[in-house]
Amino acid sequence: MAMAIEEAEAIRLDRCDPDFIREVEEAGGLNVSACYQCGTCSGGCPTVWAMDYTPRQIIRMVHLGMKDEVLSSMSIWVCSSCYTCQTRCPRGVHITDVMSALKSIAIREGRTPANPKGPVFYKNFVDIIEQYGRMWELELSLKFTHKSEPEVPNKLAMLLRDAPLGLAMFTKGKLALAPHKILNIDQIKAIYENVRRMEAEK
Amino acid sequence: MRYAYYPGCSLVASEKEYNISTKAVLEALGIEAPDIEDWNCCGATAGHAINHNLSLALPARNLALAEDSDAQTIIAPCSECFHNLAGVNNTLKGDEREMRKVNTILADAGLEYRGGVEVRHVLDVVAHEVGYDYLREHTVRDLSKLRIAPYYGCLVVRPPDVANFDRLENPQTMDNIAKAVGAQVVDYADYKTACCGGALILPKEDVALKLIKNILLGAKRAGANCIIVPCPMCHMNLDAKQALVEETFGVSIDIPVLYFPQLLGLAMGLDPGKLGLEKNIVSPKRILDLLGIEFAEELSVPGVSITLEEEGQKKRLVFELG
Repeated sequence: MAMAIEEAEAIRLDRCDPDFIREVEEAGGLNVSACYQCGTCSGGCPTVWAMDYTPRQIIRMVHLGMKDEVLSSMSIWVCSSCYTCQTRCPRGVHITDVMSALKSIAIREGRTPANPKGPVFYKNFVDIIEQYGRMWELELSLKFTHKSEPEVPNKLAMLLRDAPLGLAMFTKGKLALAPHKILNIDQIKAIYENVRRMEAEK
Repeated sequence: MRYAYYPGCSLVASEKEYNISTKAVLEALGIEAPDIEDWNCCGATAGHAINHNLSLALPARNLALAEDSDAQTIIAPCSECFHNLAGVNNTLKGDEREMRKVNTILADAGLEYRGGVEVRHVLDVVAHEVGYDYLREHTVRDLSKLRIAPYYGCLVVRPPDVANFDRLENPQTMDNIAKAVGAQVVDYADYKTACCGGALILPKEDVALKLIKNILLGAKRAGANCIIVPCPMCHMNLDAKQALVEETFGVSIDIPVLYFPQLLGLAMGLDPGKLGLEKNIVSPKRILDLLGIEFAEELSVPGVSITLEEEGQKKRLVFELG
């Protein structure tokens, strides 16, 4: 019998990280411990059908310190940050913020994500802001396609598929061919430097 | 009230028609709101996914700039920007430690935020500062042939501690605006606050496309001939990605998606060219014809003449150099 339980999906508490819950709260995911597992979050989630663990399960796994399982899950990269769960939570758990916090921890620790395109997108996005102070959509979409589609034929297929829309946007004057850099870009650099310094001091 | 205007990155690039129509309508309504000078990106969803402190500091720089310009209220037309600016504003005003931390980050940029501004979505300002009666009284065109599906999306209603100007599960502000200007509003409660996937359209496209499909087909089933939105991300997904949805799922949708200020501007008698309507990807020509408003689908690139040829169902862009 004991054998059967071990072979089933037993939770190995010896492999859990009791500090994980604090780490998540520090990264912006407030009130995780208030969850009483009602499942309202999973019931209203618009992308739960594409997740490997429901939002309720993710929260419980954070309670238990199942850091590896949570950070390698697909769920955190499928969350669209729509705030339906957080809005409906009867216990005030900041579930959407927990999902963002989990993304940020996974990216910081360089985990191999279930959806490799997630970190590529978010990292490129904030890198572009650091350079110009504002988004430059052309660079974001080209870099994203280049880095998220390793195979050359796939890259070309994506570019070809999106070309008509790109052309339409260009002819309508909506495709910026050059970035708009803000005047005081030094202020943005200073902000990024200080955020990095604070992270290093933790 | 001294307003400042925060356009955000989408509104000066891929979603210019929202900026053009919002500015035109605010001017027509007599609301002065100069741009925050040298504003920066709010970090969107990426800021949150990378670093909590960065997601606080990027919006905070804009709050500090607005405060230094002596503004009392920031008007944000983009729901994501509104969410970030208003959310960070709440956090900083409500938590001294967070305020100190963020001001430490801003200090090397020579900036300090003291909590002196408030942030409102342009939908909130139009619905509650201008008011439906005023809009009704200033409607000069007959819009009764429009059957509108008002799509609110996520961040103008959620989370309620940040967005608290409308009903959570069945918002009414755009419904009321559309009714005030004499358009019909279809029953769209199923989808008006359903998520379109937002930025997932890049990192998780298959998931986003399904969500967009449901929202568009929902509007079609409800009998709408026009969708209105208050968010550039929603618009990008519902308008620019509409053709991709049709191709991916083998469905026909073909519904123009207007920004609510574009609708409002039409009601108030503004010229379609002043509302950026030629920039929408799904052509609004059909509904403008229905309303008897003249509209030329103008496409312009210097040195190239571009014409749109229609052959039954097929549309073809023809380019001629010189």
